[in-house]
Amino acid sequence: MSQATDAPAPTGEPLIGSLLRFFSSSIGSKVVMALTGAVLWGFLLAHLGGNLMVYFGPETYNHYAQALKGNAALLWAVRGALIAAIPLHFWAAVQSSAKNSAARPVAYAYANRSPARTAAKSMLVTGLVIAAFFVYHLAHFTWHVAHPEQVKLLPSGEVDVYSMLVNGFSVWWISAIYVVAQLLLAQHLSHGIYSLFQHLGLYGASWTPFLKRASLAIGYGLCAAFISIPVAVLLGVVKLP
Amino acid sequence: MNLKLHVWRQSGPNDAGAMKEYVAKNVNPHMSFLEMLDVVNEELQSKGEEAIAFDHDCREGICGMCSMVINGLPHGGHRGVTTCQLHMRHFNDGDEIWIEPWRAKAFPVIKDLVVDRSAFDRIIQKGGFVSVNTGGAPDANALPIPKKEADQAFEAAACIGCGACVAACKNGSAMLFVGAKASHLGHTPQGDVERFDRARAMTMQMDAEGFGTCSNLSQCEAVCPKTISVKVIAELNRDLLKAQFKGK
Ligand code: HEM
Ligand code: FES
Repeated sequence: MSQATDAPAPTGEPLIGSLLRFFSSSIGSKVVMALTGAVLWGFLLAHLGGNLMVYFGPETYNHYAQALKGNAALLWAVRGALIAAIPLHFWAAVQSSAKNSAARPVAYAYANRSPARTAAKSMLVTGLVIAAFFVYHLAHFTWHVAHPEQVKLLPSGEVDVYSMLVNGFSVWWISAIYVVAQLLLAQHLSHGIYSLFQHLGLYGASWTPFLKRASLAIGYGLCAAFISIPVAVLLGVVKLP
Repeated sequence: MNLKLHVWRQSGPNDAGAMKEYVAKNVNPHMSFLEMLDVVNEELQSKGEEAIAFDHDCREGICGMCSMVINGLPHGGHRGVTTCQLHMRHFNDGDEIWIEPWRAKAFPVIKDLVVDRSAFDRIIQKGGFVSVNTGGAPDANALPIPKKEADQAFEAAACIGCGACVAACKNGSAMLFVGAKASHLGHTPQGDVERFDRARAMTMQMDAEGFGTCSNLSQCEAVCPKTISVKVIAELNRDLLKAQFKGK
């Protein structure tokens, strides 16, 4: 009647084997998700900090962009972290989502009303849309293939990142793509920040309720700051000199 | 009051099963939900039909046998209440009520609303115990335990193992149950010794049974008839991490 499956007994196996087994367990894959989520979150903070320099005008912003491009070690450290974190995060998401849908083969006739935030229940969907956006964003600003006509060069021969940004966001539907993606990212982070602490076993009766609210505030705050950039361009606050 | 019921009927583990409609007439609002079903069953039997099978035992909210999802909420969704303690006064005349079994791969339906919860027993067999014989009940205060620890052990020990947490969770995860058992033992001096082995063994069995993973949705906490906090899940996660990375 029931599947009396027995988990294999843990033995004195070598470290690498025990790590692999841990990371493919239900809790281990959430630890992967939490650690890579934290890396991605950290990246977003730094990325936001850099891009808010657009408000200081073309010189400052282009200077930041060139400094970044000029610092190959930093650039590749960041890219390396992303190249490692994104596929791991994706793998853990797919693996645990597959386990979850297998865990309830027969659905309820009356929809499950057990309360949970919609943002929390739609992490996979928001995550996948963010992944698609990420590719578009790279094609736009990093590889210059999505809208190559927006790319102008400075007298020094370097790319004029400031004018590329202003030209890009002056097109309303390109701005709309960025705004929608950021709203979904806000949803993802508003649950993710709280969730990653919980997955790492970090709970405190005194501060977890605060963390939950902070997770909402940081998720939405971070994305509102990002969204302000295309909006500022559309409103003419950030414009070509 | 009169009610229209939609009840899951399934003659055995291999039957496909379906929702079936019944009418419950002259329901007394002071009845419990199970008593209401008893009345429906009497009428079914008097007509020569098979009674609706459902699990129950103590009918006072302590054994954890009753298990029904009522209108999409395990135990009907009233805070801290099991199905047997749910009263019909929470419903109105003419209401339609959907009654379904716990839905999870690890809890196969035996008949109608009765599911096989022996997966929980097998998880307990892996670590929900203290390995040495600790003798009879010690004299009170012979073994001092800080109040905070004792309170935490008691809170977790309130778990009646009903499985509502699994039934509520979008992912069909059993983390609240496993966390409660681990936390209950881990906060006592007798159980603390084995906490890391326990965490590992119980969660491995939980995975092997086919429960889902935790997404921190807290649906379990919301429906738990003993209002156990998701804190116990964080504690279990922490123990597993320590077990893995400190070689405990
Ligand atoms: C590749 C695209 C992505 C997918 C498919 C994805 C999917 C998911 C899923 C399904 C979860 C929920 C895990 C659970 O059920 O507990 C999650 C958690 C999380 N995600 Fe993503 N995500 C993606 C991209 C991102 C990005 C770009 C960020 C960066 C800010 C991010 C940050 C987080 C954080 C902080 C968590 C919480 C980790 C945890 O629950 O421990 N994700 N992601
Ligand atoms: S019948 Fe014992 S808890 Fe409901």
